[in-house]
Amino acid sequence: MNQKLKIFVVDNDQIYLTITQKLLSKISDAFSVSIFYDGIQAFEVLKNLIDSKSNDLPDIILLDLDMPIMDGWEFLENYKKMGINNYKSIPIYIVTSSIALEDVSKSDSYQEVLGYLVKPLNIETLKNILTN
Amino acid sequence: MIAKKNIFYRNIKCVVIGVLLILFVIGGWMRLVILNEERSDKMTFYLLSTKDRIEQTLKNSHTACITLAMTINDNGEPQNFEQVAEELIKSNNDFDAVQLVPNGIIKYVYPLEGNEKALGLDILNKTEDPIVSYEANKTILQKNIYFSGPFELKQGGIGIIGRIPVFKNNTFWGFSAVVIKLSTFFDNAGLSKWQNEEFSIQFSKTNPFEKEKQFYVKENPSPYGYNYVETQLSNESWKLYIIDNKRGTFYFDLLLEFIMFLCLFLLCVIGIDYFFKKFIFLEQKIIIQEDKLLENEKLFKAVFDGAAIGLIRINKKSRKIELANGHFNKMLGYESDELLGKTTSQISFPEDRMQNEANLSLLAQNKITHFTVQKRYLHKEGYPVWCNLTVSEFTDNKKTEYYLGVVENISHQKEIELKNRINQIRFESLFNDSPIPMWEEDFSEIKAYLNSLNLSDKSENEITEYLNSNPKVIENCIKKIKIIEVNKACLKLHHADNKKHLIQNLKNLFPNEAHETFKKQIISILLNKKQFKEETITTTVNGELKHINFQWKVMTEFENNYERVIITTEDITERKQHEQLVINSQEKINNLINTIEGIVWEVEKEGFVPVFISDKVETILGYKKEKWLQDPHFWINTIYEEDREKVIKDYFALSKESDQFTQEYRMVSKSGNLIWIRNYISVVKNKDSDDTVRGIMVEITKFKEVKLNLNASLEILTNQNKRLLNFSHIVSHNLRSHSSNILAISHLIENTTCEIEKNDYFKMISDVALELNQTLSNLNQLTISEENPNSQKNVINLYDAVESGIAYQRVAIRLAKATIENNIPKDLFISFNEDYLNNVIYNLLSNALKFRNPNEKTEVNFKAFIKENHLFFEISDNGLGIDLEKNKGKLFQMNKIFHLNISTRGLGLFMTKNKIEAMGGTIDVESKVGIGTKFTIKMPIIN
Repeated sequence: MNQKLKIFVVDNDQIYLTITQKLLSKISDAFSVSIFYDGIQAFEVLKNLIDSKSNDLPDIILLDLDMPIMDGWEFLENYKKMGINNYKSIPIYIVTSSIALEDVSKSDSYQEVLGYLVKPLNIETLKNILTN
Repeated sequence: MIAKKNIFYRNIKCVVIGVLLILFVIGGWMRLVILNEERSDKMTFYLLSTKDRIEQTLKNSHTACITLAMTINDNGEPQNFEQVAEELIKSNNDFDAVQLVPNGIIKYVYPLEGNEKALGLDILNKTEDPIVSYEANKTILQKNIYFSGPFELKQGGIGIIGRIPVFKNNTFWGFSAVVIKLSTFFDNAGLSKWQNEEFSIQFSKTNPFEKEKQFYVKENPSPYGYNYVETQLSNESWKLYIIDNKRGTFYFDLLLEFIMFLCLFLLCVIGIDYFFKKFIFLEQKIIIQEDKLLENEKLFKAVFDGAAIGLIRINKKSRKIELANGHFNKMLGYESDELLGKTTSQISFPEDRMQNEANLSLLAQNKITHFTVQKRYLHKEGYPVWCNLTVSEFTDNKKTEYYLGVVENISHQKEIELKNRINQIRFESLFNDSPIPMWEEDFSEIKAYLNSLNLSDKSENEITEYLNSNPKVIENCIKKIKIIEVNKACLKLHHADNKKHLIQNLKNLFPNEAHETFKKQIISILLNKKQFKEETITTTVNGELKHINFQWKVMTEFENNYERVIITTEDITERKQHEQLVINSQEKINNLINTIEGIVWEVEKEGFVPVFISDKVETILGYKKEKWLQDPHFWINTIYEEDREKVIKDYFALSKESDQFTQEYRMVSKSGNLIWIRNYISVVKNKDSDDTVRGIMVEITKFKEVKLNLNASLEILTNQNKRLLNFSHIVSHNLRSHSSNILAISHLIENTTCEIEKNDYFKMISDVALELNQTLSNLNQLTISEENPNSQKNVINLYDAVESGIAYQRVAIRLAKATIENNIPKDLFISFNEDYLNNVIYNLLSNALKFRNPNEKTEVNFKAFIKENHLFFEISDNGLGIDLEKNKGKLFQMNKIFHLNISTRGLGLFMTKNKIEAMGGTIDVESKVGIGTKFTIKMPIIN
């Protein structure tokens, strides 16, 4: 890969974030990983990048659902309202501990969401996502 | 009438005088015109005759000039001038000298004596005399004689010079001229010798250059300012005038004539005025006489026609009606004059004709002087008219005899008589055959007896008292009753065979209760009443009890002495029995209704006028039945204010849909309590009367309370269930979160050989374990809060509880530099678990301090009050506030955090809400970002 793949990981669980970073480093060094502890932090950075028409937009977003201030659902709503897909389509994967069926079916209603992944993530799953 | 005529004649008089005045004015004006014309004619005559004389003198001068010119020979030399001139002077006294003036220079003059100064004068030379020169030149141009002057002559004096131009061989030679002195000119024209007192004469010449007039008759005035006539002479600059000297005298004469006319006019006016006055006087006399005659005639006619009694004049021999007045005509339905010529028998009722003829015959035979009979005349329409007729002889001045009939209509009296007779028969029939028992009695003795007691000025109570203390009075009265008649129905009522049988048993017919009725009757008589009625009892001769409607009435025309009274005793035994049955069943129904556990009611559909309300109204709502029945608005006014509008609206809506429906609402009882009512309503449509609405109001307060409590419990259970579900999700999520981390770390450990890395992973496992522990601790706390705490409820003084809460966090308060106000009334108590309350106060106060606004001095206010059966407990602050539009749904959820950079677990509000709801209360929030937050806890009130 000539250019590093840009990954946004959004989750308030510090341990999960560390684990994810470890797994990504095991797959490749060619990832640029940005960590966000809350939906609102991730959304504001994303918005600024879009507004400034930056080339640093992420290639993939791994999004948790249960977060303080702005949870995953609220992030998705705001993201949808921005109409970012007209500019660049960013695949979003929900990565959560929730196995509630209503959360799974709710995630299906978002075009932007490419997959619903239940924690823990293993290295194969991550590889699949990133190669797709 | 007279006044109108007076006005008319006065107008005529004014017109005549006006016409006379106009004639007088016209006559005067014509007289003035004629006199003026006469005078003018006279002056013109004098003027023309004088002008003729002047023209004659001038003609003579002309002839002389021509004769003199003839003396000039062809060489321009005068021949025999002297001789010819002498002849001319001698033969004519119209001029004083003659001249020949060759080339304008006076060369030849005759007589020379006295005219020497004129010789050699160049009359064409302007410098000598411009006027003379001008006139000389004008003569040449005119080629005819021209009279110059008058002017000052060279030879002396004033004169006129007549010149003709002389031409020889068509060449101007000079002038042939005559000199006329002005005195000679005036003498010949008659001007000098003018002798007329009435008129003066004047002669003028107009200066050709200055255009001014110069007057030459010095002894006479100029015409200006006078009346004059004038004429122009052959010399256009000369004018002759005749001046009227006597103009003043003329007007004076005219004034005299005017005065004479005026006197004549005034005499005429006086004469006319006198004539008209006399005429009007006579006219008035005639009118007054006419009026008197007319009035007398009218009076007579009015008396005859307007008499309120019929009057007829009957011819003694023919017995025909000759005169009938309006009343008589009207009485028999005839128009005026229709009756004239008819005999009195013709208009009499056939059965009365013979008697009529007989009476008139007696009158004709002088056996009687008059007669009066009641008879029937025949109305034009054929029916009889009863009259009272009086006929007497009537003699007028001419000795012609008539009968005068005076006719009075007595149909009405006859009708009344007839009616009375019929009434009598009818009364007897009604009395005897009446189905109602009747008594005809004489109470005159009772009345007289009662009068003798001198109780007339006593009140009803006093009379009653008197009769009670004197029972003999009643007994005496009973003895004095005189029964005149009883009818068949009466005998039947008392089972008596006849009147005698009835009277014999009279004492037994009236038991004690009837005696009371009789006493009331006596009281009525004493109070001078004419009637009395009462329901009472009587018995038959066999002792059988009968209910009667007793009515007693004094007959008309016997009101003073009570000689006739009618008593009816209608048998109402059967009705009374029915009434008793109705009363009994009514009582049963009422008892039944009053046993129903609800208020039975009935109102008229229109206007809600109450018809019936059961006794239960007093038990359930505390109001008296009477109060309810008196006021049509009582029901609506008693409905609880908050429900009233809806109840009325629903009532009309539901009554349109169905005749039977139910309403539930609250009413305010007399003691002020709210009573829940379920009203079962039925609209009843009545065929014969207005529609009514009936219903039963059942009290459902307890049922409602139970239902409300049930609903509240259900809500709490539902909420708890929801919270438990949520809780289980959260538990599942949180535990899965940790387990997945452990799983992921263990995978990492398995897949690495690096010991350092492994150590890192073990440390991570240790961190996960710590977090898991914390999560389990939180869950443990929450589990404890979900235990049912009802058994642990205490009555707590809220003020004290808040004070304790404030004291507990005093360090945090000091660090936050916050002001806490406890405004809760000290006597307010709350039913709450004590630990829970402390926890709720701690959480809310701690949140207020934690989320304070760094730019404001923190203020927290505790407040509580009671409203609508609930205790409201408020905690407000001026902190950061929460965007409720975004977060309201999540506010009380677990693990929800709304402010960055502030350490919080997101459990406090979740637990607070759980605790409040577990205690049967609710919590609500109002908040604005940057302004502050207010939490309101609503708890049911404790008794």
